[in-house]
Amino acid sequence: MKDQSYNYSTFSPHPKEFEDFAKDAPKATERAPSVPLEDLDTGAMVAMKDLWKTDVALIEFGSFT
Amino acid sequence: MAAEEMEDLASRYADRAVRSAFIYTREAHPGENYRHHTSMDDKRANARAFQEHSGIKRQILLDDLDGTAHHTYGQVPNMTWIIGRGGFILYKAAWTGARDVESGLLQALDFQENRVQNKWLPFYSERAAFSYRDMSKFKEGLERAGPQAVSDFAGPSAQQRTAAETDPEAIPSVPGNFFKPGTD
Repeated sequence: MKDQSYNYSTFSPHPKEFEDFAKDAPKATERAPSVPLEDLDTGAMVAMKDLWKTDVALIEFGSFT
Repeated sequence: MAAEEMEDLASRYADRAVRSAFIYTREAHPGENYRHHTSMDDKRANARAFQEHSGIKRQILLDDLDGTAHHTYGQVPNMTWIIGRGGFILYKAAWTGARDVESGLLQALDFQENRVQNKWLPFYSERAAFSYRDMSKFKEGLERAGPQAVSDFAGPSAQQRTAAETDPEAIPSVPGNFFKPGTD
């Protein structure tokens, strides 16, 4: 089921997200989880772990806004 | 976002076995011109606009509409991670500051390239990082998104700044900075 609140239409600050990031997100020295992603240019599905299969992966998350 | 600086970083380290990618999440500051996503087509359209506007040459990967990758990695709006070969997390930052990322990247490469000969054993640590916030560019970005993005940001942020001046327990003005003034 889609979480409508994830794609909010109105921005409001969520400072607790940063606390959760520090405490609950994966930590340095842990194994990075892999998630399927869509390549924008080709439309192909990519497993996130392919990014670090042979190289060091430098991954930025973000959006246009 | 430090998109241009990260593009430069990606280009400079491409020949050192560094694979750079940008994972596209929900819109952090949706507005009339670049709305929140209600479909993957919305997301693709905004991502292409970003790619063209910011001259992104890095691979752009789209998270699903529910934000599975974003949620898995901590759901803050502009984080950066460095992951070593085999999936070992080497660097995690709540915000993207290219100078700090480069520092982490150099350390990551040193570890990958020299850990066997130096018999290094990795361990967990934490540190504070810092970067310059170009507020004029940030405001340009909000204006580009649309008037709603500008007004949505202005209200709560102004309240936070005012509150922080008088109330030590108020939300800090820089998200991800947990320091609170003490009473001693």
